[in-house]
Amino acid sequence: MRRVAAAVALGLLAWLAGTAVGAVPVGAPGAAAAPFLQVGRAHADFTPTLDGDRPIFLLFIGSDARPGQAVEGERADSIHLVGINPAKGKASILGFPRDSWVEIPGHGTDKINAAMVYGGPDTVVATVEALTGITIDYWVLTSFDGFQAMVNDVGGLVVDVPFPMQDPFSGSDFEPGRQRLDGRQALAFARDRHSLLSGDFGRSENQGRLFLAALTQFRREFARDPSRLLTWVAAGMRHVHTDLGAGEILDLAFTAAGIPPAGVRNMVVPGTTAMEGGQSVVLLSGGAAVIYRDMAKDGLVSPRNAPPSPEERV
Amino acid sequence: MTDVPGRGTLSGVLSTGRHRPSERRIPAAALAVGVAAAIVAAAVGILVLRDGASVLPGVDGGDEVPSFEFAVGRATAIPTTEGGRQRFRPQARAAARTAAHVLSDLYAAAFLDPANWRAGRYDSAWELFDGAAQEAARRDADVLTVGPSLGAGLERIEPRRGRLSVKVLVDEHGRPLTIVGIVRFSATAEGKDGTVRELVSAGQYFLRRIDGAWRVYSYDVVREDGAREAATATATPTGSEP
Repeated sequence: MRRVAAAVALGLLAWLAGTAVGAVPVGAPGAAAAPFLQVGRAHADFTPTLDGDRPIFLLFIGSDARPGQAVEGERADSIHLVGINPAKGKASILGFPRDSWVEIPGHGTDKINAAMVYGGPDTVVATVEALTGITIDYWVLTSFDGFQAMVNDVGGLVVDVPFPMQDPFSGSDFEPGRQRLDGRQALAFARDRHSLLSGDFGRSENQGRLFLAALTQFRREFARDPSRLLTWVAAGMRHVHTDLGAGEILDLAFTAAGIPPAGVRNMVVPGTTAMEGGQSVVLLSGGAAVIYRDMAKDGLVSPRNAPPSPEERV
Repeated sequence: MTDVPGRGTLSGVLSTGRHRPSERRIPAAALAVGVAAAIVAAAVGILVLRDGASVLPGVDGGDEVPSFEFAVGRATAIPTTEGGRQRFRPQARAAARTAAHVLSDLYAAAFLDPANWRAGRYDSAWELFDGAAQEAARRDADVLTVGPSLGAGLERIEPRRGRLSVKVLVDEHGRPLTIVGIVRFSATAEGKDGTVRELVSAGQYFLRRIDGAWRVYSYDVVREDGAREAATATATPTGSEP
């Protein structure tokens, strides 16, 4: 009896073993075996950057609107023309002092920041186009609140503060050096002109520094985790008014990922302060026409035409 | 790229003699019954195997594509308006299903379809890429697929794991503007020479709707294969190093 039982048990074992042999051949995938060891590593990526020969021009406008005020009906506190050359992976930032005394199409001569009060971002665009001869493709407008929220949504910006800044009017209080600024601090950095020898000119340059800080940080985060692009695009779309479509914003974001900050020239249109009609204004230099013509060609300004930093001029 | 020689192979364990047969004597009749049962069982096993091609496809070099679908994990909506992510949770889940469908098709075509990997051609995978991304993907075939030449030395490939998480940019109406599928995929490839290789692909795919269909327009993918045998008999992916 014990022999029969042993034979049956052995048969069952053999059946199980045989089934296993039939179903999972030795060495086949899924068999319990030694762990896999890495034998190679390779990486591939593709970023759909714009690559046309034609430069793209965007006008970034910071509205003076406070909470409750219409963003498009208040003065433009900051105005920057950004030229992007997708083919070269380079760009230019050209800031206009807000008190620039210019011709506003249909409204005579006034400070450039008044253009938005006259007719919103379209009139600011028309004013800059008339001044520079450059056709602007898109405008992007934000407010104090929108700017702060945008910076907070991306976790703050790491800014290399170039010099000590203490100004109770804007709220700036910074030692020089790299530091992460939250939305409120970044706004204070952008608004402070009292800490700067070059006043409104230097402030415009600092605003350009924030563009560069954002580009640097965006590229770093994108390289580490491409899906972060969505966070940056969403932060922008939540807090700006623009005539860009969502698809165009995504295209530009991918393109920005391919532009190293070293390939971006941050400039301010040179000029001098003067009095007009009892108010302090900025008379833009006649030499600025060379910058406009250069930038119009390919979105970039060559070193020989680039103006020195405003802080170096004073 | 770094090639690492294989270690810990099964033959090394067997040569130590730890699997010595028992000294115990077994009655002849029981042995005969056992041997007969084993033969029958092995035959049954093979029959089951042949009939159940969906369970173990390609063991005999067949052309059937193993069934595969990414398991969907986290799906996150990133809204372009204020109001919080929770509001768009259903849209995020729907986008995750869309991404799972497209990317499962992509990985089936790129790694599992024997007709593709044997020939080293992946046209059905490239169809899921858009325009310029398609051109780039063809150039990156070593990383994005089994590869142009590796398949010639393989007997079969089976999926092991496929995990997908999704981030989706949604507009104020909850419409998806772009979807990012974050994947980790692995499959086991058995070589004709008996070597076993693990094909591992991990990365991110950006999808957008083009002419009514969701297509890949950007990607960032790493291929990290593993092997149980020394890798001398198999090719390795040769994409650009990061």
